[in-house]
Amino acid sequence: MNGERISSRQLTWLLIIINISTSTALVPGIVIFYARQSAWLAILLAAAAAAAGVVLNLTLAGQFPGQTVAQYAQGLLGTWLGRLAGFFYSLTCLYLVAVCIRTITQVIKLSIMPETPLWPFVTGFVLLTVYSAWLGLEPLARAGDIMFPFALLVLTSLFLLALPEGKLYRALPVLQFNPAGIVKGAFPSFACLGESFVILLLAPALNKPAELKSASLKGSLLSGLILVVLTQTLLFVQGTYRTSAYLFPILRTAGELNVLDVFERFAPFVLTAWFTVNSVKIGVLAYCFALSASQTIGLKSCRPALLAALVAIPLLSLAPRSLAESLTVWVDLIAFKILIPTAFLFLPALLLLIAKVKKHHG
Amino acid sequence: MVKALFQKLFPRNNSGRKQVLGSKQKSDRPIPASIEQAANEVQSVMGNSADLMVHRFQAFAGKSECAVVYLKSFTDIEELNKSVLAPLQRFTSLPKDMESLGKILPQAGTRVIASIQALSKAIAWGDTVLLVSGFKSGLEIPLKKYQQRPVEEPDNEKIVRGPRDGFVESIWSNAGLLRQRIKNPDFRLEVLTLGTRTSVEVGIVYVEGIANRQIVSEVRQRLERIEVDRLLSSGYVGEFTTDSPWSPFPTSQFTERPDHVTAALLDGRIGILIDGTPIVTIVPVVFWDFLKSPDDYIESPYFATLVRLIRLLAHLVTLLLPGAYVAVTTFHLEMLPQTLAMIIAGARTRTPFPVAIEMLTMELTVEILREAGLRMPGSFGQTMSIVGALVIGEASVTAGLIEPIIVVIVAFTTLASFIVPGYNAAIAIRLLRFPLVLLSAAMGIFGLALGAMFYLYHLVSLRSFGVPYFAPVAPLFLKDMGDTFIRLPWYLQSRRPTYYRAEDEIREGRDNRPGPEKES
Repeated sequence: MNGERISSRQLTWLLIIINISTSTALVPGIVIFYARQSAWLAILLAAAAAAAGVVLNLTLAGQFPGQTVAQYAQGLLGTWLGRLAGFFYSLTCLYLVAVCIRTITQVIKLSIMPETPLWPFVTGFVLLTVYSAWLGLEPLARAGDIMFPFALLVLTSLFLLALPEGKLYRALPVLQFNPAGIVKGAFPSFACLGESFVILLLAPALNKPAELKSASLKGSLLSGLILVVLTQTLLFVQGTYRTSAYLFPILRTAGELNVLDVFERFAPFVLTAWFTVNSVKIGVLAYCFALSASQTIGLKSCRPALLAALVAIPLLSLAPRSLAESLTVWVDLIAFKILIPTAFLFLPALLLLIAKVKKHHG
Repeated sequence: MVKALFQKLFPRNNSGRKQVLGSKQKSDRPIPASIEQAANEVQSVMGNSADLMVHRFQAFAGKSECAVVYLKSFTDIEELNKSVLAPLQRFTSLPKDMESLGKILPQAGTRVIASIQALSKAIAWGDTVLLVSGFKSGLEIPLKKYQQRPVEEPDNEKIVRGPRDGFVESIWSNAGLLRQRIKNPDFRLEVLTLGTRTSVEVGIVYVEGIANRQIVSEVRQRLERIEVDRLLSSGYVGEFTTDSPWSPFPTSQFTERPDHVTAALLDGRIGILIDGTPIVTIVPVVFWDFLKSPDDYIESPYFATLVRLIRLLAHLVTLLLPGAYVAVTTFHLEMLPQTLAMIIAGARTRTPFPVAIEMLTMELTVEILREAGLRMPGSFGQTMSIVGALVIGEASVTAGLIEPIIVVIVAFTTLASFIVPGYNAAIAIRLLRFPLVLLSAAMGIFGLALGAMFYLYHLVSLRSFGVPYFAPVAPLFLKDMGDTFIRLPWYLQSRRPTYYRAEDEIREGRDNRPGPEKES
């Protein structure tokens, strides 16, 4: 796995996949619930804040070229605290993998195969995730090269099929100033875009390190833009009430579409596409987990960590008792409010501060 | 200590391995001056083989006793008489050594050999060895004669328009067919001898200045590394040189067409010729190469593009359609238009087995039919069609064992699997559709997508001699997409594919746009 190289375009596409693949289903409903017709403003605010966070992460990564956060944290914080930081990044990635797998498999199960127990879906997805991470970052980036255009194609087709159902008044007023709603709506989008913290682990793999900054910023900002387009389209097609009433409004929209009244109920197709695109994101996160864990412990290869993940991910994924618990506690509270802000903002800020102070004192 | 014990229990001794593989080490004695003794020793080494001939005669005006040793089964006797025995009768004085004799004999490619081992090896290779009494060496004269079939169009790779020649079993004839097309001093042919028992000549062909030197060197190294007693076909070389020995997907391409190999060489790829087989291996290869046919470059770009897209669709149909049908009919019937759903539901009520069992049974039956068709003598071909179509298809539906739609799906899938020009790539797809049917039966469309994603990750992780297997799609090389899914006109394809890392990327001039001369 060491010595793997990806291009700056591949990094941009991977970041977009990481940022939007889960949030396409999750974010629009929540943002519209809080910000109503100003949802686009909320997402733009989140995208701007996420871009600032990306700059912070890039500044930190720029201080230690060729190293991941798991490596330089030990130099900055000392062996034990540094290892703790490395473990934090490993566990955050592992946690996000488990939570994403749980959410996706449960939605698939509830939507198309309610009679089947959850564990076969989780087991299948975990095997796929570990296999993809086992192959390494280059194959994941290549899978991203296929999946990103595929995701855009699916989304564009959905938009085009849904447009005839749209009513312009549903998206009006476009400029409704609702500060509290905008800020509340911006937070979940920011948390989703905050998964860009993976650049702290992926930066050394870039084949042209000089392009890291532009590639990462492009990835973050384009993700925000795609989320804006998606949310506004859903608003235009379904209106504020229906969009915020459903947990996954995009699936509801897909379920109502048809082509020439012959092909209809596309939900299984959309769910499958959602799963395939997410498998790249989850594979990258699993790779980041293994990379960070192996570098923290000092292993030469990431693969032993992945074998451990083979056991840990199903245990974590199957722990929540329901989808509601999974979304409110495991996603909203732990992932959105604790782990992602810490991994994306607080810890990089602390590490950067220490790096600057250490540099200042020679 | 544990390591020492392990080594004691499982010794890894390379020399020991070589002894198993290589023919027993024979004593490398010099050729004796006496013809009688030399002939006896060769006969002893070759176990008095029935086709081993020792022809003794007087030469140099009766001054010296000579002998030619050769294999009757492998030698051009007419040429031996004409270019060796007759001139020897005409010479009056005995040359001072074998080398001088080689220079005056009207036969190219002679070589002096000094040991019994070299002598027996030369004879085993089909060469004739001349011995002269009093000389402690022999003269190896290349007079081998192959039984060779004429150059004809390969049955397995027919095209509508284009050249009609195909490779034959001789490496030299095949090299000649390539030289006929690439009349350029940069054409290179390197020959290695592989297979410790079979001693097969394996040729590496490429165009210097186009093929990437590192890839050429990698091919050479991988071939030189092969240590095996036999090398009987291109499949052996493919398996010994592949990047991923456990992958079902082929990482080298096989062809019998010289025009195909020529095009590959001019793209910067490398051909591997093997004596005794008409199949030439081309490396490196990307997945999309299997969807291309030499026909694509002969027909118009529009038609070539349409056919390529149909081939890709057929590839996907072969892989996914049986699984998709099982998934939809078992779990997601609501996805289908109501009329179709009713037809399927009606058909399902008349059959006793789950749809997955029916599908697997029918797919297996078709595979059996296909294999039987291959092995069956030609005159039984029609019987096979009748058995396949009527007895197995019609009768099983009438008996209520199989629903008719499954027969339609399986027939369509089988047909689609034949469209892909790369036979070995189609085999991989045929194999891999079975796990997809099982996954679809267990987890519906999620299972199908799960299996497809496993294949996709595997495919994008493969490399062929360092070249990413899924290029130019993943990693994406936009510049090379003009000859992947679509086929742009030739004048727009001015560069060789970048993923083969050719030394010289440019293949045509800039001003190649066809059309009448512009008026000034």
